Formats: sequence, structure tokens, C-alpha cells
Amino acid sequence: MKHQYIPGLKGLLLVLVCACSTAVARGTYQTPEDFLAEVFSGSPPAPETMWLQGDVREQVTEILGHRYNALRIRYWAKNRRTAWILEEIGKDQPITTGIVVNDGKLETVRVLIFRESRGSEIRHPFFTEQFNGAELTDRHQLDRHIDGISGATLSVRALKNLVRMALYLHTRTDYANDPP
Amino acid sequence: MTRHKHRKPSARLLKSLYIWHRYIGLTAALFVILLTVTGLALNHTEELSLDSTHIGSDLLLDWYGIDAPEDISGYVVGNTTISAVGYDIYWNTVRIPQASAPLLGAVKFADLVVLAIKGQLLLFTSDGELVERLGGAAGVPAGMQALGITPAGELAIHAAHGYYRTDENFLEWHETTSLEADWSRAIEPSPALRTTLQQAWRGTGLTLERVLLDLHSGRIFGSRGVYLVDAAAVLFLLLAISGVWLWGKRRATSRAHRRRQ
Repeated sequence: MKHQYIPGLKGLLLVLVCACSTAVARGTYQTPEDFLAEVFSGSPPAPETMWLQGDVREQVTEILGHRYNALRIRYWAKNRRTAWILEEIGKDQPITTGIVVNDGKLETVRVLIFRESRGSEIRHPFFTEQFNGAELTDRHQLDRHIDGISGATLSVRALKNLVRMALYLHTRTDYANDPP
Repeated sequence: MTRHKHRKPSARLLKSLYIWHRYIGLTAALFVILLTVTGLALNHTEELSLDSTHIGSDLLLDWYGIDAPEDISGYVVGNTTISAVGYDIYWNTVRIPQASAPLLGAVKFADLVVLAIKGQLLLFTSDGELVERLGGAAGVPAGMQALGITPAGELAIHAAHGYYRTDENFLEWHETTSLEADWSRAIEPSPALRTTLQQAWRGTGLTLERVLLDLHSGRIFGSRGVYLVDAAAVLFLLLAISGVWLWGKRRATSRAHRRRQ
């Protein structure tokens, strides 16, 4: 049977999908505990702490464009792999992300809790998978271009900065220099 | 004579329409000004920081029915009073932006001020700077009910499934069936602090963007206000139709005059 072409149907469907997506935008997609359990195969190591002070604090401030909203950060590490639960404000509300760095390269970034009213599209794998394998350049920039999402500029910027921050913090741990 | 009889009602209608057009225009002018000003401002919400500008007018706050909660509790930690007004938590009189949940306790521990809110521990320096936010991933027990200090100087937590204690590193949590501790107790804030907190709470309850949106839609006057703005929209429509009709009629008349000359 031949389907009849209905002008504007695709556009209408896209609008409906976007409307539904906005309606369920805010929320906890995965708890930090579940994220850590997943990335460490069910048995995350004991957490360790890093103080943001001295040159670490200065560099983090340069990466984010402002001071990080805490003086101490907790991370989980095994071999040359570190996992971070970091938060950054997109427009008004903090976005909680889980980031795993393996041997200096970004292994996984996942939006765990999104509280803003707009920009939740950054949680989708089509966006987050662009970061996989990313490394920091000498100037603490990502070594690749990340395509943005229109209408989610601030959330995209926040996530990029958090990935840069996690990659940088990884270099400041003892695990960055562990033998393979 | 026949011609005169035909033109007279038409001229009367035209004159009547002119008068109606004028009065509709005058009535609509107020709405045009209101909708234009609020619409222009709302189009530039971010540049004008409308969403972060809060209304302090008691008249408007009362109009919106924004009343601070009566139930305010606090915990005294050294020279600081940590208070909960609804789900907002205040360090003396300054709202803590990172905390928006029921306050369960506050203690001084290892040079830090430790706050327990639902599901999280917040660690602050004595100056009020956030050191760390600890949740379930950091081992904080679920269902916290109270926060205290043990005689051995450890941090004690009474949670849904038992008692827990930890040291100043907050890395290991030891579970016990019972625990002796000096549990933090909520106090009633002084009348002066209560008034200040209530004013501060009300001051963050209404943004300029909300007021402009409600003015634009008429919702500031309730459902009747919405109908009023609907009526204004109908007036704009009538104004446009009558304006075009009058313009067309006048053009046709002047052409007919020119043809006759």
C-alpha cells in the first residue's frame, strides 16, 4: 500500500517530540551511586579527596571561568582510571555529571541530574559520545571540536568545562602516572 | 432624489464607524502601551536580568499571596545560626544557595560546620564557604534523622536503619545499633531574626519576569484579567478591520470625486 505524503507531518512530529522532551527534561537520570557501581562493575573503590587549593584552584577557576563551588572534591580511582561526580551551573541550576577518565582520555561522561528547564538534550548519547577519547591540550582545551546543540548553549558549555576540569584533575592525581 | 436616499444611510454608517473606530482606538491605546512595554521587556529577559531581579514591594508580594512560613527553626553553631525557612536554609541571614531541602541538624566538627539536609551532608568553613557536599555516593547513610557528636569527638548520624559514626575525613562510616552522642537540637530563633528571615524569604519569592508575564497575559488580575486581555485583543482586531474598511471607503470616495471633476 502506498502511503500518502502529508505536508508538514514531519515538522509536527518533531515539535511534538521536542515538547515531550522538554516536559520530562528535569530529573535524576541515574544516581551518582548507581553511576559509580556501573563504571566500577558493581564494586567502586573507597573515595579519595582532592583539595582545590593553590595552582589546582587557579587552573580550575581558569577552566570554568569562575571558582568551583566547593573547596574539596571526592573521586574514585582504580589503576589509571578515575571517576568524578562534578557539578556546574548551566543557567540557574547545577547539572550533576559523572565523568570517567582512563589513562588521560575521557572514557565516559554522563548527565546524572539535570535541574534546568531547558538544555536537557545534552544528556543524550549523540552529544555525550563526542567526548569519548578526548584529551586535554597543553593549554587545557579539548583536543577536538564538540558540536553544540541550539537552544542548549549554556548547558553545552557547562558540560564541556566539566569534562576539561575532570581531565585536568585526573592529571593531578597519583593515578595518572600509574604503570599500565 | 433616489440617489440622495441611497447615500444617506451609507454616510450615516460611515460617520458612525468613524466614531466607533475612534473610541475603540482610545480604549485600546492603554492596552497597546501595556502590551508593547511588557512584550519588549520580556523579549530581552536575559539582557535585562528580569529572571534574577526580585520584587521587594510588600504590596505586590501580598497581592500574589507570598507569605513566609511561620514554622522557622534554627541550630546554633558557635557564632552562627543556621535556620530553615521552608526548604530554604540560611547562614545567619544569608540564604545558602546550595541547600534546598529539609534541615535535619547542624554541628561544629573538625573546624567545619556540618549541616545535615535530606540525603546530604554539607561541609562549610567557619566563614560559610562550602567545602564539600556529600551524598549517598560518599557513603552518607540514607534516611538521616539527626546529627550529633560522640563523646570521642566523632560525627554521629541517626539514620533510618541505625546509627553511624565517622571521623574528620568522612571516608569511612561505621554502623552501630546504638550510639551515645550530643545530638544537635533545633531552637526557636529570636523575634528579630525571625522577622529578618521572613523578609529575606519573601524577597526571593517573586521575580520581575513573573510580574511582567502576568501583566502581559492579564493573569495578575486573575482569570478576569485574562478575559480583559482577550477583550483587548478583540478590540485590536476590530480596530484593524474598521481601519482598513474606512481607508478603503475613503479611497473609493476620493476616486469617485476625482472622476466626477
